[in-house]
Amino acid sequence: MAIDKIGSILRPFTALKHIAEKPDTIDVPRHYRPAAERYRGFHVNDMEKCIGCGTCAEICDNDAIRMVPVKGKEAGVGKTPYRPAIDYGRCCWCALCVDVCTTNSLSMTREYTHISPDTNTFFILPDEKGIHEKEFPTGWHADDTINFLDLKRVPMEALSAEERGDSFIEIIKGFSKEQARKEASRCVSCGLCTAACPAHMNIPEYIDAIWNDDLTESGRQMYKTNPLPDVCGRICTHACETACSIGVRGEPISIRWLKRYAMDQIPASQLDTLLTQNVVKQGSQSVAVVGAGPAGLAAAYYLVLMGYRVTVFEKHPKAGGMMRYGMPEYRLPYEAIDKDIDFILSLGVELKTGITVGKDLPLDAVQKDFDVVIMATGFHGGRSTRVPGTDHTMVFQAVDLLARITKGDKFPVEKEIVVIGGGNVAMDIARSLARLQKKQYGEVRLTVTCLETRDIMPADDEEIEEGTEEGIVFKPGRGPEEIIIEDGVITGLKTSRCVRVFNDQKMFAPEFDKNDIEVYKGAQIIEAIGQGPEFDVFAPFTASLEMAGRRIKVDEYFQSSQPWLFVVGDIIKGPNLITGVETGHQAALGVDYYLGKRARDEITRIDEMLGIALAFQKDQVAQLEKAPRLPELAGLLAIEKTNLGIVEALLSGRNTRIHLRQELSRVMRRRDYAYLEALARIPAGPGAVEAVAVRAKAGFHLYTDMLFLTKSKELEFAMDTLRDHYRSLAERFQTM
Amino acid sequence: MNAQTQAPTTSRPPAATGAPRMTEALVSAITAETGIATFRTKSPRRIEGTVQADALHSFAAALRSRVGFEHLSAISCVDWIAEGEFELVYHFWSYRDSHLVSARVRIPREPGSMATITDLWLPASFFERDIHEFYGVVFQGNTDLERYILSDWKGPPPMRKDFSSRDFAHEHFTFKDYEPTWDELIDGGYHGQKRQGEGSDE
Amino acid sequence: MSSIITANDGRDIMPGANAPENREYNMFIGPNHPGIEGNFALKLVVEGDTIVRAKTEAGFLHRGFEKLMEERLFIQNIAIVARICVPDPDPNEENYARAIETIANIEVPRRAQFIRVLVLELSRIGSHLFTFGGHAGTIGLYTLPNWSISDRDRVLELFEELTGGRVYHIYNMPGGVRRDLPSGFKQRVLDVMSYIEERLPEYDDIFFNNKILLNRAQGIGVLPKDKALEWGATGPDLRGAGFAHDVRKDDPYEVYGELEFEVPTGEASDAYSRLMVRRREIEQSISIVRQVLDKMPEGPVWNKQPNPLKWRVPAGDAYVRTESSKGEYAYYMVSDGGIRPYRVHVRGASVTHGVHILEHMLTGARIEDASQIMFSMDACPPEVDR
Repeated sequence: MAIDKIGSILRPFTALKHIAEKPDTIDVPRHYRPAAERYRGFHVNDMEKCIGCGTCAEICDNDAIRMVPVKGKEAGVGKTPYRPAIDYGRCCWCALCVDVCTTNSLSMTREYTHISPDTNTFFILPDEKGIHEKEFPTGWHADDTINFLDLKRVPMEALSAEERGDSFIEIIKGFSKEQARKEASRCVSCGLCTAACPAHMNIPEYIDAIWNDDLTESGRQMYKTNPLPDVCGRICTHACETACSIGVRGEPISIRWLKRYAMDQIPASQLDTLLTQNVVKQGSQSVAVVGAGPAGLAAAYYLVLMGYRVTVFEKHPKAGGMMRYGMPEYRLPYEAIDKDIDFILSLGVELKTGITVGKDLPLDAVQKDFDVVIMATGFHGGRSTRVPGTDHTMVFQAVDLLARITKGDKFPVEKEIVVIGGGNVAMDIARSLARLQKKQYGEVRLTVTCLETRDIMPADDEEIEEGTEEGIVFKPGRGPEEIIIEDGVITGLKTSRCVRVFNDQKMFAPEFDKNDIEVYKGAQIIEAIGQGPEFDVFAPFTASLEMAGRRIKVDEYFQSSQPWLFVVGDIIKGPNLITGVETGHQAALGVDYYLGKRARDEITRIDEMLGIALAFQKDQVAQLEKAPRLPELAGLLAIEKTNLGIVEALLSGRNTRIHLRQELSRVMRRRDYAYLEALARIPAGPGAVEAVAVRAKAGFHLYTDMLFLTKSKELEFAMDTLRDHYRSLAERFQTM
Repeated sequence: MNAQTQAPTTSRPPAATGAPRMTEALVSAITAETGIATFRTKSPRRIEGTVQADALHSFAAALRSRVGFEHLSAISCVDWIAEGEFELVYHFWSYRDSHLVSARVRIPREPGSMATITDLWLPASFFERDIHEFYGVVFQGNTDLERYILSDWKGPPPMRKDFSSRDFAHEHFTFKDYEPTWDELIDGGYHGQKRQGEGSDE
Repeated sequence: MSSIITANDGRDIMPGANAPENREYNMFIGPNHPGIEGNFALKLVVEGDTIVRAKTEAGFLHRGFEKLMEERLFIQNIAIVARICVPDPDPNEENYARAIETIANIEVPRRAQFIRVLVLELSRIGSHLFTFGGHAGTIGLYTLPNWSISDRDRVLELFEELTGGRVYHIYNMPGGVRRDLPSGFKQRVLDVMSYIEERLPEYDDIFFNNKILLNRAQGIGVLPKDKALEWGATGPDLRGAGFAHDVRKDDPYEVYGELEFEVPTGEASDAYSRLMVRRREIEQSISIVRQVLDKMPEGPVWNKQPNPLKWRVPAGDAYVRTESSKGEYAYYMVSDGGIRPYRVHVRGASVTHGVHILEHMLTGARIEDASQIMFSMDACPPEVDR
């Protein structure tokens, strides 16, 4: 660049040519210019769309998002009353919260500034109007082409209709490691699943363990609240998947198949070492469990872990109840049932099969021999439609036939069959019989009819779809009129159109159009319209048991009006595997409270747990301050003081994510109370060092459990630190 | 000037002229000139290898004078606390050959001690001082290890893995306490969300 | 030895200084000073108006980014790395993303690579305009700062439209960029480029050819080529000394290898020479931006990565380099296979320029030139402090 020396002196004055130009600046506040179309201004949140999953708070760089419970927002399946509040003293406007939002409820406005002398106005609970309660145009918002979340499931491979049509081989193939890890990676660990799961399983935790390829940990997490993970991994009704936050915009995580994957990879021989840390030996009395179904087995598992002597009575030749005798093998192979049950038995549970309590052995005899009896007899009585002809020998109950298939009993299978019922049991028997027909006759001629129309059929959609693929004909929305019998032989089922199933009060009150008649051909009729309890087993106590409507009255720990008698499973909660497991677990705790004469005061609030920790820490500091100045204890006081500070900080409630998890896992937490309590009772030994060692161990467990019970980032971190302190302490004193 | 690979024994200043060498040629030149054979190609234009702590100085000198790596890009320190070691990674750039050599050195964490290379590269002075400040590694022969960035810091070298900045923050700072304008919308009120023991600071 | 300057507690904070028999005086410049972007201090020992010795003092802007990164998820760090260097934040985003991509072997879609180059060059233009303003301010020419800062705003306007943020873009994500170009954006970039191109001759008139600048900047802050190499100068400071090294040419990343541009160098190795290298780099950047817009293919802009809350980067390490407006900008990243980086070492371009080179160059300079020399090195204290 040549420099014109003479010009250079005058050239700066060329700037004067701009003197008359109109300035670019804007006359604020008289005129307002919205920011660019994707500007990251202030947050707005569609309060209705938002489900309060807290994923925004999880990804936030600076802990700027706190979840707070908003009045009028109800907790429910897949939603919480919590909504994000944003602290603009911490926010860095990165909009990661918007990009990760599971519902797309969060976005940002095209506003530049917020100016106020009151710092409280910088902490907002954004709604649709945003910080200034004015409608500003939307700026940065979710972009469907660039999505942080994986909304598509990893497809599950299954046998084709041809491959499976005539065999009882399991249909679902299961995930490979790569598939499972990919599926597990989709989870945002919001915990809505845990809240929805009847057994409140630690779903985010076991999914995370699968992602980390730590299947041992995954299994350990499952066994915390469910001792039948192999079974549940196949046939659970997966309420968790309905609640999954990823399901709002996409397909929910395949939680059930992930559980199955993890358990399939853990050989039965490893379960023992994997789960020893769950053992708390504290009771010694004897407990009888009547019925070796899911509820009975769950109760037996947790009771034997607590040290009780448990005997299970089962009328069938093998344990498993409905899992074994009501579930077709193509859905639930016997190996899976055996694996779960064998492990429970290996812990010392005594199993007595072939004994029908109430018939072979009266209940009062059982009561004499045991301190407590848990009744888990289930729903084994099939209900009948009671239409004319149901007393014919070729009319069967679905539950009876399913049990006979399991046992290998022979029974007639006709060329044409009609199944009455629209639930999963109806699907199970229909699809089982279809397989037998295919084997025997080479073709399937089977009709399923039920009162409900297709859209409200209670069976799982996939069951109906797969059944159709296998050749079953569905005739939904029809009510049975009578079974047509000619010359003593059934020829078909006469049906009328069902106008409605439920009345306006949502009570079961079917109405029919008697002019719309159809007849389905068949020489064999199966009734699968539901099952009910058999109360005969409760004799001679039937009359003395208080009832609540048609069910036996129990409290929240499933203790009946006879204190020694607990009633769990289908009889109380209706037929559902995972609910059965939950009742069994809960009853085990109830039994422990009853036999251990322990107060039932539940620790349901993390506050109270932190209160325990606070008292513990204060005590530790006080003890150390007056303890002799031993070299072994040097430095300990400082650690304990730091710990006290951490607990105090946690008690000050800085992060309401804690509250969120607290609500979600309230019941889950109750589970661990017995465990926690047992640890707190470890007696202090003689001598200062020993006492500290023992307390260090107790502290380690206390914090480990508290960590497990919560999922707040902040609490997790703090608990991690505390736990590490105590782990090293415990190790230090153990080696001394 | 001829390609330097042909005259391995003579020391000469690095040249900006001459044909740049290929990666394989460079790797063999490094092995031949420095006597250290652990170097390999990591990715395009990246060569890495391990050097024993006591050999680093002579290696670096040879790498500069005989192979032509005249630019010290950085010295990085990594705290492998589980192994009880610090890893020092020296990144050298050759202007002529457009390649980066990363030489890894492992030293015990306690005491973290290493010979300086400030006599070879002036810029090493900053990097060594920085590592001393943040990891506590002492560079023998570096006369200027005074604190630079953290002149008022009283705690341990903060980049060590056993220093938790979150703990530090919890111990020394409090979170802002708000009186939110939307308090009435919250079930139990915002302060109802807090637990017992709070409010004493008001 | 007596001392006039003492601390409140009577401590002698400048031993030997200000003694009557001593001709040397201590002088403290900073930490708030127009001579540098951000807070940075000089402790000078002067004799008359001449600087005898200089010591730099940093740490006013230390935010502990390297430590913070070790405690955050991989995705969370994209929001904080930009803050390491305020005037030229994008090399941080570039390095951070590219380090992860190198370790995890992630392919970046072609379109995203072009967009990244676009962002980096726009950032370079903005940063140089900022530097011009600062440099002019140190010698009392106050028209140019007004112009260049407002012209930089037009670049920021583009950033706002593209990335949603004016200064901190948080736009580069491992695997690509966060959003595609908005519609009509290309034309608006071209308009701004033409505008800046038209403005440069006006800048020449009032600043680069200004007699005051020539008198003040020529022959000041001389950093000869041999010293520049010995002391580890990079970027425009090295090129101003006549050594044509540019990471974009010699260690090309993204699509720089496919683009045509020159590497301007200076001869005189002085403050003016370095300034003119930056002036000419703007022209090159404008040319690169035009090529990028012309050659940019259609296609996706992000190679999807797993759920960011669970995302793990495989164990490994990488040393990535970027040519920032200040020079060689490198990250050394180590992953242990976890959900957080195990170590991220930020090698800012200013660590050599702002510390030792500056200390050497100030020795023998006059006090009134100190801030100009600082600015001619374009050291960015937030990079030094991290």
